[in-house]
Amino acid sequence: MAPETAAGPVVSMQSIDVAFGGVHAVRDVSIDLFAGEVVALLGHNGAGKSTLVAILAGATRRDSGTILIDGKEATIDSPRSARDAGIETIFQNLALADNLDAASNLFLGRERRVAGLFRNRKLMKAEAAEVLQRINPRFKNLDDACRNLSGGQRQSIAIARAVYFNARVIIFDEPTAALGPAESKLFQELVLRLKAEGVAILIISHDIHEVFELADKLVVMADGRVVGRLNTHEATKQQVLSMIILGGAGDAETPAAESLVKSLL
Amino acid sequence: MSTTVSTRELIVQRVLLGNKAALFAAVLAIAFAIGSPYFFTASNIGSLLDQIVVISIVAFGFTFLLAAGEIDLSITGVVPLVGVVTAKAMTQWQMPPVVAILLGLAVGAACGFLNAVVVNLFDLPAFIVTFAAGAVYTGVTYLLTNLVPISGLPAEFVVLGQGRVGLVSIATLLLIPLFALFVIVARTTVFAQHVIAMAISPQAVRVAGISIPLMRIKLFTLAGACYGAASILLTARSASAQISAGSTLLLLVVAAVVIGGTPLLGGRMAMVGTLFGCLVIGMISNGMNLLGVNANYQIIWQGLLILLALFVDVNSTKLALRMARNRMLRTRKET
Repeated sequence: MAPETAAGPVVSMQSIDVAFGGVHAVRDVSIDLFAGEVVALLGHNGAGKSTLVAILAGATRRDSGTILIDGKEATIDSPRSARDAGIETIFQNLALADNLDAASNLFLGRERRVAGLFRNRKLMKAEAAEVLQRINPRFKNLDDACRNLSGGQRQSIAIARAVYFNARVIIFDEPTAALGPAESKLFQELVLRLKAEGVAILIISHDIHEVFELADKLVVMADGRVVGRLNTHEATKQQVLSMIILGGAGDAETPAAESLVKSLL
Repeated sequence: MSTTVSTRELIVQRVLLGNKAALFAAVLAIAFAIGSPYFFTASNIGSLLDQIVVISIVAFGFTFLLAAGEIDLSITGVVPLVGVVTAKAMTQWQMPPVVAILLGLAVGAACGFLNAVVVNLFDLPAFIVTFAAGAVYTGVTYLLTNLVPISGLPAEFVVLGQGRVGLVSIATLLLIPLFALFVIVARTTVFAQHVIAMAISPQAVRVAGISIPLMRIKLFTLAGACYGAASILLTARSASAQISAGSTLLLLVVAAVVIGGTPLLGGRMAMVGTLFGCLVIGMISNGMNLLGVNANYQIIWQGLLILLALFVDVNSTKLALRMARNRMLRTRKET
């Protein structure tokens, strides 16, 4: 999108720390996201991925650490401030209001208004139709409440929201967990397109095969820490899996670990 | 896509499920018209409309609350409090009626505001908070009055509740623009959209940057102002402030709103339906009076009617969801 930012990271999370009660969910984690680059965040359940992403989305407060946007320190303390900074999150459950239609969801909280109070329904519907067409050409159920749509259609709405508002960073939390094969394929094509348009993308995923197809960089978390950073083209699935399972202890050479990893692949 | 919606479905969904209250009102009207030749006279229709003014104004505010998935049980406390304050302002504090009315509205709004603040601050269910708050407001009313009703209200105030232009009461004439305003707000504003969204998906609303505590404050304050307006008209009607004013309102308003098509758990707002719901409630007592039914039986009938309305609400919602799902499955097969 903006070529001048290609030099430095769009978003730089530095030394992020969060604890809930006695649980240290994220410890001293730093991650940089660059325009046109896909980073995958991997790890067990409870490794701290979702917490880290919630911080970037403005949904959870961090205890310490800084977030830089284009090299400048940014206050991200609410979903709104994250969105204002160009960070859009596609939550695993998509965070859609199930009783509203596609356009209403796309514009929820950022409605096009007439005289400050009234919904500009026509304009929102037309613009939603236009952007949804770009994202998912098969999407036609513009008047249906979201609860009546398929998982892929619902995801299309959440992604359309990010695209419409010119997100510079898009976070996907388990994007294909609830999708069928055809819908997953559509999603992958979409990610590549967004990447080509210069969007910085962070994907949380359990699907190691998908991650190897999509991501440029892999970040593995365990127990709240980053235990491994790899360039996808230099990494093997075996290596990454053992990092996830062993928390980066690096003992993939022990025969037991090796056979476990092999059996999983 | 629209070709896949059959006419039968359209009739069931739009007419029967979408306008249950209008249908219900029509059935009742026919039944009472058969039972009593006076039902459809101009003077009875005029007084029927006059009888539903108070409940309608409360119900308009309550529709917003219910649509948002909130509830307010403090009506029974707020209504007499506002009446007493308004009446005292005119009779004891020597305020002109206009100022007293504004004070009454402000007291109603303040009660609602307070309810929302407590719900937000302590993160308690509105159900509990407003139940307790209602008791507090009732207590304040008792303290202010020593349980003695306040009468001797100025004539220019009483005319608001008792005055007529031909067969139509002044209160009814006031109701019309208010209803129009509420319909417009419910159907066209961004606010109303956020209201129905927050009932179904608080998370979606939160991540969209909309503050639910702020929404709650707006909703309860609006509802409180509605109780205030209703109470002022009620006080004017009876030319006195009664400490038990509006004691049956809560039940009737919930019934009217739900019959009107706003679900108990929110997510949809049927403002026109609410007016028809109020008409149904009004017709039941009006019609039973005409038929000479004992007033005590009327309360039982109202209770049964509410159960029936809830039963119809739950089942028609299920039916609507099932039809929508079937339609979706069909369209998926086609594509």
